[in-house]
Amino acid sequence: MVLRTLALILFGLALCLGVFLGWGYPLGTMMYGANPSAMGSGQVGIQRLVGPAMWNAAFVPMLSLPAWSLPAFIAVVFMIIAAMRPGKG
Amino acid sequence: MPAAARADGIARRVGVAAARETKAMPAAAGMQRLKPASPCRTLRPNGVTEMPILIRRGWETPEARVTPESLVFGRRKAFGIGAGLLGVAGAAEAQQAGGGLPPAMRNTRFAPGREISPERDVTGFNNFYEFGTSKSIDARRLPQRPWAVKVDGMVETPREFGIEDLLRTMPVEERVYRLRCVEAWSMVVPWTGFPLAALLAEVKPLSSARYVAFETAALPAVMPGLRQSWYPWPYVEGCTIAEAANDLSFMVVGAYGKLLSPQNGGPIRFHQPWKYGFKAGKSLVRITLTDRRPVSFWERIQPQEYGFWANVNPEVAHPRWSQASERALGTNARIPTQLFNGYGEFVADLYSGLQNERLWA
Repeated sequence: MVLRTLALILFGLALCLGVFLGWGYPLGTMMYGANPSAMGSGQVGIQRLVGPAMWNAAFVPMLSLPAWSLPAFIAVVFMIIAAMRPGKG
Repeated sequence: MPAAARADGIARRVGVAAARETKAMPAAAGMQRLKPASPCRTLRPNGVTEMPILIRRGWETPEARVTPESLVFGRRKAFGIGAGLLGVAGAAEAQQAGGGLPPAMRNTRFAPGREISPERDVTGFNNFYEFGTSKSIDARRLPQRPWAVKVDGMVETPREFGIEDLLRTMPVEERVYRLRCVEAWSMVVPWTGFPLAALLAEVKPLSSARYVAFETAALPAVMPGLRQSWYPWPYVEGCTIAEAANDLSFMVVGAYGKLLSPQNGGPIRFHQPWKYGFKAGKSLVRITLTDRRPVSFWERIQPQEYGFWANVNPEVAHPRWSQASERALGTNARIPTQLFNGYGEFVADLYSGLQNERLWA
């Protein structure tokens, strides 16, 4: 029940992001707008600790996705987990 | 240059130096009441003796190192035949007409005091975020011709300069500068270019202009880094008008005697060697004079780490690492970092009265 509730909240959040920011508004732009320094530090940290290739190959494509897609993706994962655990979701 | 003319030039410089000396230190001059001891000394009516002093400027070459007149004007003989010389000159002209770098004399005023870094290291280790975050980016897809730089804002005559026009009309010379990256590595590069002041003189800045902003090209088709659309592209950097007018401020169009490669910021970039390297905008398309301080790319992203001034100072650490020393590209030797990257004698006076500014970040 908890996972399904969280999934519904995340779906609602995804809907709000899509409606208010626009369906094509990138996740990275939203995060940068929320905290530019954290975004810059995060990139530097990943590049130093993991490597520039990881930033370019994994994080840039992910951050280029629409902002609504991240909460929607997590909501889907929660729904799947809940469906696999009947009676405990 | 004929010997008489050279002597006349020296005499004029001596005269100027003496006049400057006398004007600057009248009390000191008045203290010496000596009879002339040599033909160089002159006795003024008030009994004051003057000793002419030749003060050479940093770029002046000692007479002993001047190429003999006979060799200069007899170079056809030295080369063998006149046709050979014409051939060399023709080849140089052809190189320039074909988009090559014009011949440039090295300006010895700014001797770096260190070995020039290997060209391979300089072109293969770099920051150019428009092409990615790796140090070994490939910027060859960036078209170098045609290329134009717009100079606008608070100027009398805004203009757009084609790169070929700049190569043909600007006073191109070679300068060997140290470059200190904020990431604590450094290199020594023989840049070819011209003073920024020469370019700004072409557009006649208004007296109200206080800052200069430099804008890098933003071409998504060839710059994969621009996919990080959340960053405040285009890359913008800036300096004060006084810093721009400093003789060290250099517009770079070449390196190692060749046209500037795209990964080093070709076809034209900026460099102020007393500041950290991120202040030097690459692949410039626009220079704007303004009365408002530009907020630079990195200053927008991480203002606590990268400020407007960003002058090199070994005693002011970056929030995440020390700036006391630097790794020299090529040798990997660890060497102490110098205040203003060692160019303090040229620029320190720019910052008098600015103690309240964050001059070192």
